[in-house]
Amino acid sequence: MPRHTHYPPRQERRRALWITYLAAAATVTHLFESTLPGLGPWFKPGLANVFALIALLQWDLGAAVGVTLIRITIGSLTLGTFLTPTFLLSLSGSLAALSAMAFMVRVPIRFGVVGISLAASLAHMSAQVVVAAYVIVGHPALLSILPLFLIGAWITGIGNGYLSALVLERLTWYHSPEDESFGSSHYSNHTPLSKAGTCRNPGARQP
Amino acid sequence: MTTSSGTLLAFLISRSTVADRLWIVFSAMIILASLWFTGSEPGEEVVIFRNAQRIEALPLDQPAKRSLPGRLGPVEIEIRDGAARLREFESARMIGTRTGWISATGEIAACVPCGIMIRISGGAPSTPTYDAVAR
Repeated sequence: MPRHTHYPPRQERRRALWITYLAAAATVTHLFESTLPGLGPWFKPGLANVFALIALLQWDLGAAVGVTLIRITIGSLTLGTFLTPTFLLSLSGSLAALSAMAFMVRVPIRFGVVGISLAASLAHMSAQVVVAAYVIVGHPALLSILPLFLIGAWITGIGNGYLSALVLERLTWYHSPEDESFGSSHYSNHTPLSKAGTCRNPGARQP
Repeated sequence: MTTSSGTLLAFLISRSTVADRLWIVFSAMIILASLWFTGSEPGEEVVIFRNAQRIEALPLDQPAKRSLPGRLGPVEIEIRDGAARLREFESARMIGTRTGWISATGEIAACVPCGIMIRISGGAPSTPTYDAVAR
């Protein structure tokens, strides 16, 4: 994937470290979620996606892709579902979610974390149901359950968005203001989240 | 109470942009509209189950009446005007009867103590073989 943002060498190393931190956290969350008892099939919280959102907003889309792909691969290898239909569902959902994130970041409308998270969540669920209907079950009748599942995705998408906003605030608080380039990602350079109160970031360079 | 809900509202508003809020409302409207649209998809046939075994499938477009011996007594299944209903006569809670007429794909009326269930099917698998959410 072409990188749109290039950082000074120190920041590049830092970005790589952050990708691994976030991927580790996302993988653990992914595994934890897979052990949750049935709240109903459409009510998985999708908390692992919070880490992809953090990677997107703190760094760039490439970091979010890295976090997600590492999470899915290691998660499915651990659960023993690698290259099974479950993995296919997971992969298609995540790729759709990343595409939705990329779209939301690039449109000239100022969406915050919550809007991006909601779009990702809806795209994730839609892609999974479409793949399940056409590839796995092989019948479009399954699509009729999509709206019901989208209600769950709508709720969790918004919830995860606010959760990500909280985490992002703490991340930017935690890093000292003199650490100038931390958090001045591709996204925050183009979309001043701090103006929306979404991401308070004292160290960010404003455009 | 008022203060805490006000704090929550302030939190919800301060962490979202105007575009976020519009997008939340817009997507909710789209989902509800699609729910309305797909929820009323008419089924094609009534599948009758007794003791968890499929025993018969009847077309929804032809009026029919069946009386089956349930565990508690006779259970009547009636099909009329593209809808079906189940009526039990000897059940404690009469849930099957109170379900009323069902016509959309996936809808179910059941008398569990009698062991009789009917389900509207569209001639297609309406239950997911896999969860829509991956493990």
